Amino acid sequence: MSAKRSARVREATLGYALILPALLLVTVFVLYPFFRNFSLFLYHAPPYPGLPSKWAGLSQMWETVSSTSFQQGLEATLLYTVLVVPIGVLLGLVFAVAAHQKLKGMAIYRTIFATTAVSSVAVAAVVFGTFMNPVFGLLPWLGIDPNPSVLQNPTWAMFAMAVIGLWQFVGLSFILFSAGLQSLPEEVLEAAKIDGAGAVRSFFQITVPLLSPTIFYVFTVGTIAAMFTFGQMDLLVGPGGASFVRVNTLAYQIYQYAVTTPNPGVAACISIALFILTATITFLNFRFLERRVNYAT
Amino acid sequence: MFKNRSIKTLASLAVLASSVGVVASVSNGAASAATSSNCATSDLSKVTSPVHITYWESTAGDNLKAMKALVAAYNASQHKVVVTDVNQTGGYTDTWNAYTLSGGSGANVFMDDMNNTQAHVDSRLTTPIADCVSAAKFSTKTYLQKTIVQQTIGGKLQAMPYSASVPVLYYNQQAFTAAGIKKPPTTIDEMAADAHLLTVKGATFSPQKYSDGMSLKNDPWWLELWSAMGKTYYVDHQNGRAGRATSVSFDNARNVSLLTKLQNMVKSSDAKSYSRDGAGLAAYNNLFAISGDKSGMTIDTSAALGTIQSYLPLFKNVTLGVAPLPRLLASDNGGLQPGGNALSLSSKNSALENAAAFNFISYLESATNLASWDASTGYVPITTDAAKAKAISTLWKKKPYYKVAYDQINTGGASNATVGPALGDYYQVNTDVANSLNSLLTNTSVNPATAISQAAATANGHISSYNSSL
Repeated sequence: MSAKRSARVREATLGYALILPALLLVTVFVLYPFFRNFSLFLYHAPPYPGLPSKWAGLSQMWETVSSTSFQQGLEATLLYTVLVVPIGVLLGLVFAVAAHQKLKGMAIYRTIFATTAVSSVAVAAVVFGTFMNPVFGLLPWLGIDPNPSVLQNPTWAMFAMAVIGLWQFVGLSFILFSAGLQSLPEEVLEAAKIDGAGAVRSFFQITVPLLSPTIFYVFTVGTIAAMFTFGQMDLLVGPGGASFVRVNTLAYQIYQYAVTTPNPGVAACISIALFILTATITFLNFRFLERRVNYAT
Repeated sequence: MFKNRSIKTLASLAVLASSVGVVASVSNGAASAATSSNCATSDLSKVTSPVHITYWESTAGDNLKAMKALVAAYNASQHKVVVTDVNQTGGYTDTWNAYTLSGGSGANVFMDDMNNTQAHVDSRLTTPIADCVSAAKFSTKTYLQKTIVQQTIGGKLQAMPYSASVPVLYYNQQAFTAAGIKKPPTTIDEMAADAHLLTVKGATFSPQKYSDGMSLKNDPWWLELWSAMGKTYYVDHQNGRAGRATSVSFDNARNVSLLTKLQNMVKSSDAKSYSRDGAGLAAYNNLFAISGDKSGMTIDTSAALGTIQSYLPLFKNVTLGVAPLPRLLASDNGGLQPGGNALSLSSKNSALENAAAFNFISYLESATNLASWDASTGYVPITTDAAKAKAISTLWKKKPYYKVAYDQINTGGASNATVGPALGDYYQVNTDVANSLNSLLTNTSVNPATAISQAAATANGHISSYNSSL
């Protein structure tokens, strides 16, 4: 073996050794569970380990996706996504542009907006849950005392969930747009200014096109994250009321069938259906939105 | 990149689903083959080095402090057994799920909801505690018989009852006096009439001071309790105790009448409904409605009594009153089924570990220790010996309302009808009933008979699916 070949082997060995821990983690916690779904959905799995599974074939999948609860979950998931993502992208962009000024104290302003992204859903749920509390919350303090309360009302509960999701998503969106704005070529903006373009025209004709890769990224990532939301539903409404107030998203149903009232076969069916749905929406995003993205910065 | 993200996120969720199926398996014959040889009590007295056992419990706050103190006292009191107490945050459901995911090897002894015992039997992950009761010649004679009948499934005592509670009527004596109400209601009709008085006819307060009259918590447990009070079954096969439950029995005229009365209270604005769930303090909204002078009474678990008592000095506008849960019919005499928790043994234990775990349980359930636990937490003593202990008799003398829950459990005799259902898919059925209650009490145009029939149909589907999966 030549010295050159031996060095290459050593280098490759070192490379594989370095990625091995990450590869193991991904295999154990991502790949294996993902593929395990595809065997679980074919069986009526027992609620407890050690009991035998019974073959169900594709019938379990059909029964699951044709059930009323799945259809309600699908509606809730899509409604939540529609309520949170477009507004979150828009607000994040507006706040990021507003914060992209060389003014004193702007760092504090940026920090305030960014903190919502790093707050856990539990914190957000407790804060907003307190605001919306029908006894000692902000609403009764303002003299608004709806009966049933916001979180018990099928008309308003999803909007309440969306407000919490929006509050968190705007922080992430703000951070990403702020980073995108800092990478924009200053000379293009200055040239537009010299050519007489006003702030609004500059924003729509230069900033937005140049930021379009970031907008596309935020929109796509936000959509995927919204499709998997269930934290605030579980913390503020719970499984006992989620389907009644129409916030029983598909992700929350997976959690319930996997953890609260174990039925792993059904959980796997919903997981696969949600995966296909998310993959389809992501594909459509790429197919139709990416055309409008301008990568030439 | 995006596809990878979605795969990753989905796969993370899938871990939950798949892990149920891949954790260690359990011997199918363990529970059925159990005999007193499963519990080597005589061997325990001969050990020269201590037997180490793990105890999972899900207490919180002051209850956790009391539990830690009891475990420490047990470890200090003898040298044969060392107990490691592991507090499982998240409550009974999370503890039970963690236990099943461990394949029964996570804990030697664990605390779980008294109502979940059928699931223990179905899982084959627990050993009937009757084996140790018999091997140790432990007497259950002084136990409140409802707790023993409740934990007996298939003719064997499956888990050791430990902390008991029942719902009681909490009311503000100041509000009642102001509204001219002389004594707490004993029936639902009286409760509805009093709620109305609180909203409109104050003797010393202006109309509408107690705008909600009564704060009603939408808890599906209530339906079980009112069924037990009337000695009617919640599920078939005598509440699942003469055979496996295959369908619910709560879809009947009695319960339609019950729910109609509750809904009418909301409809006439004499009561406001509150969710039983919610982050932070939201689960106590029905109680805060009393301290905030919105309502004059509510129904909640007696286990909240200790906490209520500790916060009471903050609210000068409230003088606590506690009364038995009002009956649907004046003739109802079934009393109440106990709720709370019981202690179970793992089917993975060796005979020596079972003996060690039972030794620990016996310590927790001695009259003195039970009394100390109950006095510091507000739970109901589950033995007559504990009820006679100084800590409890002093407490009852000083604060007689602590005895209300005890008397309710002691009323009505222990039978399959008065101890609640033995139902493997208990939590799912509970959720189905909660949905029905939510729809009834937040949308007064919903017909109670339709809502209860829908709850029954959904629950029957879930029971059937659960039974066929075993």
